[in-house]
Amino acid sequence: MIRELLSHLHWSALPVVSMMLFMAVFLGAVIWVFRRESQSVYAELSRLPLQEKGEST
Amino acid sequence: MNDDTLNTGPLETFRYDDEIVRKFTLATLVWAFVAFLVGIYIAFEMAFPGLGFNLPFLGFGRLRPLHTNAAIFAFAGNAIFAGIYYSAQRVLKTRMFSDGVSRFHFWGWQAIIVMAALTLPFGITQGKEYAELEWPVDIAIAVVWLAFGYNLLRTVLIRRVKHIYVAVWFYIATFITVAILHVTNSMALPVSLFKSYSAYAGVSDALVQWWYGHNAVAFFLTTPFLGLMYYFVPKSVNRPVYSYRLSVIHFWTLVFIYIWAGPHHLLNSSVPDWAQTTGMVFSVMLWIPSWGGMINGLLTLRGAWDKLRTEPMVKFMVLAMTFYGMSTFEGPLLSIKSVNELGHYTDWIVAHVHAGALGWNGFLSFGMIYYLVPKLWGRELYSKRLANTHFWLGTIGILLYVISMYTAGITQGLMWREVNADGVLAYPDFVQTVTRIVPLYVIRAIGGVVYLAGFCVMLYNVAKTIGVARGAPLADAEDRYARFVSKPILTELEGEGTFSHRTLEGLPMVLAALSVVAISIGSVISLAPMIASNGLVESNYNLELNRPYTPLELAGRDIYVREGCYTCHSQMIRKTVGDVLRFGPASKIEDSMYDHPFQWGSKRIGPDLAREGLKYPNLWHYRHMLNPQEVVAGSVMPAYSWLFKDKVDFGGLSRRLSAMATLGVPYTAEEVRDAAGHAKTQAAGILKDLAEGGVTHAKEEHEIIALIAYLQKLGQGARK
Repeated sequence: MIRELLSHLHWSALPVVSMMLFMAVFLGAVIWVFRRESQSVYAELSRLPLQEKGEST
Repeated sequence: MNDDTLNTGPLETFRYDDEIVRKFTLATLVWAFVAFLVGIYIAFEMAFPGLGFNLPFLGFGRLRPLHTNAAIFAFAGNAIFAGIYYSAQRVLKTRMFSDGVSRFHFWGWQAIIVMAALTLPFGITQGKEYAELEWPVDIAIAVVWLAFGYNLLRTVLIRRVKHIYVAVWFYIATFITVAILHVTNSMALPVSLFKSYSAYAGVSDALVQWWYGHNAVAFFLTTPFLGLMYYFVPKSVNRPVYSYRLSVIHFWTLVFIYIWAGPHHLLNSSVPDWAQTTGMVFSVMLWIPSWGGMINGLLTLRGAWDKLRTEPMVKFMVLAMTFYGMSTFEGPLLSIKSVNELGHYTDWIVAHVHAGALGWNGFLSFGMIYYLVPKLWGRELYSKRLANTHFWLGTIGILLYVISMYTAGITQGLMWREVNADGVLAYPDFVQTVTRIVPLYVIRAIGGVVYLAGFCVMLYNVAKTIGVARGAPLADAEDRYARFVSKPILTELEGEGTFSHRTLEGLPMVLAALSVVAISIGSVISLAPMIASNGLVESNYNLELNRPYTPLELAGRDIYVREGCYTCHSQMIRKTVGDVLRFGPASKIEDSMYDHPFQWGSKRIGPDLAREGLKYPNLWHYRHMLNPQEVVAGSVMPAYSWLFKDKVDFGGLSRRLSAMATLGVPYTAEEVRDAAGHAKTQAAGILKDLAEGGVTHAKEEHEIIALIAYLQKLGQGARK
């Protein structure tokens, strides 16, 4: 029944819906990372690879 | 907020597990050599088909999957694991959760590679690109991969830092997505220990396969390498990444978009148009995160560009990111339908793939190894001069390779579609479009030799570096850090408003769950037509002519799959003028509805075979398989002499038909029961026809008879 239902659906609007979904994710990510209080957290995080005390063997 | 305020307890001293990194690093070097060598061999075979020496295991169709598997899973795979084990421990400030699981992962992965090397050249294959390995190996891959993921996630859970660095996000997404891709695409019904049939058929199989194939590139050759880029590029210049914010946007948009783009491998095909358009649109949108990531990587070098002159590692990294940018510009470009019409099935795609593999994956791995080897063995690199030599040889090799293949691809694409004033093809014989580009195949192979020569310089350099260190203790690196305690303390430390960061970016399971959601949305929607495909069979299609394969045809099809014919021949006539004029009516979904697995292919070194049936007499096929050049002057197809001696196992045909029936192919019980009898009767008819043409020494059990039966069946449904 699901197979039959799916086979009769019109999918032509899907690319547009998908693109809108992506734009929502993209804008959501942009808003998320540019929140004011995130600056110090990201500044600290970006230095993580450089904080190695015991590099030499 | 300094380093120490991130910690909440007394400092602990611990050691990283560097032994596992050393193991994966050495394995990377060994398998890279094998992958490059096999690649060069088959590159020369394309220009000189006699190099197969009439030996089945040296045939292009069997070695090409070995090359791709070795390059992707052996070379790139081991490089990824080396980089992940090194960087994850250091940004998480902890040793891997379990040394035992790490070693199981290492030896399990090497065993899988050996199994691939022992099966693919001997024709043990599922016939699905980049997923050729048979079902027992698939199970082994799943087990080893889960072990790797388990170890990684448990390591994240015992970390000493609060936040998870963005590189580890890419690693987690890699683990989750590859696991889902591999399991879904590998669903198959075993017939024997070395033979199975894909659970999907035709267009369904094509959509699942390219959902997998495309995202294998995305989540095996892109996301883990991006994680490595976000760790090793800052390390190479001792500067933080240019914009951490951009890296976060890069991650989420890439993970969300990539999974949708699979259908761009099936443009102008019989896949429903809306699926093709969705694939195209999302591919074009990939420009956003890809270029954001590349620019972020390159700008990390701001103020440190002088190191480009002095540090070989930086050179390799910069060129790798440049190739990443070029490849990720070109990929979306090729996903535009009109561009794809020209480039698809040609060597343009080969150039695109190798710009990414040799330039992005190869050079990033080499840069990483030049960084790791001195660290892991506690010595300076033996020679920076040799590393520079490697860099230039590698660069020249790539340029020879890609320029020759771009030229070959565009030349061939234009020749395929060119029509004269009368509206007929200007180059009606496919072989005309092959002989024109054979010289470029030679240049490509030479490019590969130069690239390998550069790699050999690296091997020598690494061997000397390690050799100098021989006798010195190979101790694991030591570090000191306080153990990360609990959420309330952290919230207090950071103040209000920052807990949400912890929720999303500091909790691995939340991050993992969101990644699953991101990839699931695209996966479910882009695979929906697979479920709906049964309703798409056109009512005016001649299903009587498109009956299931007879037992002999099925045996022939299994031989076709075994020999890897799909590596050179497509079975998909696109809805384009050039294709229809050359090969006949465009392929329909119904043409491959019984094909477990589908054999649409992705490259035309030879012509499309979708409507090959009854185009030539049986005798033509017999002589052509025995000596292609005698029948088609200038052909680059190898001879298949063993098909004229090896025998079809008639006794096993019932089991194969039974498996097909289980998968939904409408065979009657009588057909399954008396499969051998039906096959012998059909073979006798072909033998009689051949005898009339003067072939008297062929026997009904010879494999060539079954293959001819299969080839003559192709495309019959359209002949109404």
